[in-house]
Amino acid sequence: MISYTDAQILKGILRHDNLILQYIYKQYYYKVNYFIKKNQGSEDDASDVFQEAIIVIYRKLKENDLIFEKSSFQGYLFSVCRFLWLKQLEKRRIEREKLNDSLPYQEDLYDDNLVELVDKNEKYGLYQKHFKTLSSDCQKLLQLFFEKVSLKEIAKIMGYKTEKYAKTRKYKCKELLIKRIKQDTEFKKILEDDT
Amino acid sequence: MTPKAEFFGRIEDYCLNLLDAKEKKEFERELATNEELREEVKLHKDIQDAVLELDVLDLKGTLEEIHQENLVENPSNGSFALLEELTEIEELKDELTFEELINSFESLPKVHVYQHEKTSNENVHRFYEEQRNGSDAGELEEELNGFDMEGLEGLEEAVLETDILNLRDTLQQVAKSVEPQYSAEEIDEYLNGEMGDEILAEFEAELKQNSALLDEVGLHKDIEIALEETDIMKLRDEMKNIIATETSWNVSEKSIEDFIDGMLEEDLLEEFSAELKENTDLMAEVALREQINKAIGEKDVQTLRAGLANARKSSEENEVKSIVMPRFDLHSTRFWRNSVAMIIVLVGLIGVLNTGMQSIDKTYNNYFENPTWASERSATTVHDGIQTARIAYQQENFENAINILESTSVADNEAFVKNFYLALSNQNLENWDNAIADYTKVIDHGNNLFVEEAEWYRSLCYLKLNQKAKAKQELLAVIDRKGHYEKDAKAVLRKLRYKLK
Repeated sequence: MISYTDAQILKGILRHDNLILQYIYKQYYYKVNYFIKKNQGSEDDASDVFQEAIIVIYRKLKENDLIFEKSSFQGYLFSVCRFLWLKQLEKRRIEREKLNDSLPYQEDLYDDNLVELVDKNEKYGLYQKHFKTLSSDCQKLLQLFFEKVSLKEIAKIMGYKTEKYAKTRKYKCKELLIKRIKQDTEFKKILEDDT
Repeated sequence: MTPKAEFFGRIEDYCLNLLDAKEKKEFERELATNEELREEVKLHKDIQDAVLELDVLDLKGTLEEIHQENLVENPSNGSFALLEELTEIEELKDELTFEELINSFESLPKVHVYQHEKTSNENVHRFYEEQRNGSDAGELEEELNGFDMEGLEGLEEAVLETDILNLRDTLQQVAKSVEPQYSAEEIDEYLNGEMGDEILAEFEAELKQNSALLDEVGLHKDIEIALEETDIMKLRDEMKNIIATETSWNVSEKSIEDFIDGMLEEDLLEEFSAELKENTDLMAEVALREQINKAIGEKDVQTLRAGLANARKSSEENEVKSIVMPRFDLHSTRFWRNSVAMIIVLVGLIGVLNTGMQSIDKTYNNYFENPTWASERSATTVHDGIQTARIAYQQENFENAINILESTSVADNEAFVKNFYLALSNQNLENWDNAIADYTKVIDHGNNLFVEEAEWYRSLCYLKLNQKAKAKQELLAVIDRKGHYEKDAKAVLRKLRYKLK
């Protein structure tokens, strides 16, 4: 199997290179899966944590905030995965002290920036999850709106008769989205964490 | 002028009749002309009479005590006894219907008092009540002074702030029940700068004071930012897709197949084994592939079985009679021992005689020779599937032997005989996978005399399939048994240039 350097992997993540993403998955997922299953998690937990760890790394890369000095991509990925799982354990009121650490990690990576980024990722992830549950019509409408496309143009693209209808429809979609977010128990937990 | 004390003294003496006749006459003459003196004397007499009413004083004292007791037990609620008739209602806190009030009591003053009592917990009433009970607070303060209040300064004030406590509760209730006064539409208008100036000023003023509105606006902003992250949503989708569709192991398909076939090179094998230890998906994959291999083998046999069903039928119809055929007793230990002994001797001879092997095939050919199906001579015409199969096997009609054995039902604990000769038949037909599968059944059974032979022949099958790792593993097991095949197994290993453990 071809192996990639850390630099190639990071570039691949930034470009959403499918080959690189597949490589990361094949190379590292099973270790994360093993760690999570050893620590009261499930297969689904493992895939969620792994996926979100990649997203966190992507966010870091976008902010030009990812330099491996003492660590490597593998070390960083495992550290983020471990951190995400610790957070989950805390939420589930499971003792962290009895953690079965099979993943190599670096404690010094757990700084305020990472904590903040992980929190942001969690919050935005929740909003995005509910956005995906809206009808494709609603999703498209809101997306166009956020892309600053004019209401006139939106009405045209979406096949609405008037701009006014496009506007009303947009509010309805957004209201539905906000309602779903507020009803989510995860959202309530996030609010509790914030306070 | 008569001093005042002397004046009161003479009045007292007169009232008590202590003056002599001359003094009394003189005093009465004065009394007749002096009105002030008359009034003074009257007052003295009244006081004297009042003080002398001891029974009345006693009664008053008793009444006072009773009154005090009543005060402690039933503090006055100022209802002027109008509530006395309401005792049927256990607690005035209970809601009474309008009809109950009117029909039961038919008295507006009572209704008023009832409402008054019901609302007495309200803050306004509390306020007046507190004013009225100001002295109670003083008493409480005195009581609290008896305790050590260090570190609890202000506790009594806090406890006594019932109005504030009530207000706080009320506000919380209100906050829960009141809907945000600005709709999502208005908040969006504000965020998009589409709000009219007048409303905008009002909105911003509200925003400064109303944290709930501030949170709501924050949520709207966050949602907008989150939904603009199309790249992240796309990346998440891609990751989901990869996780759902891709395998999670870091080894190629060829490596898995080679591992199963025992052909994985040693350096790769180490890496593969390390991953196999942790990667549950890979474990499952390897197990699945092995099962598939077995299943395919079984299917093959089943197809053959179906195709040759007719042959079995005809073989059953035409009874096989043979004078050389012994009674074939599956349950005879002697029979199995003889069979095994025969096989051992034959294979041993082959092993000893064969030298100069150059290749795996040659090695195989040198070490494998079809063992005879040992028999016991006995004059019997007992005919069953196994006997028929034996005849077919001895006639080297292995296909027929397989079909007959496959269609013969044998008890589970006796199936190792059938499986062993099935395996040998398959091996003769070069159906290596099927042969391995049948030998495995014999070995897995464990408690039979064919295990060592099965291991030996299975190792030869692996050898023929060029599954060196598996062959090595099998040969090492044979060596471990220190049985008849130990030397042969070592020899084969040497030929294969494996290092012995």
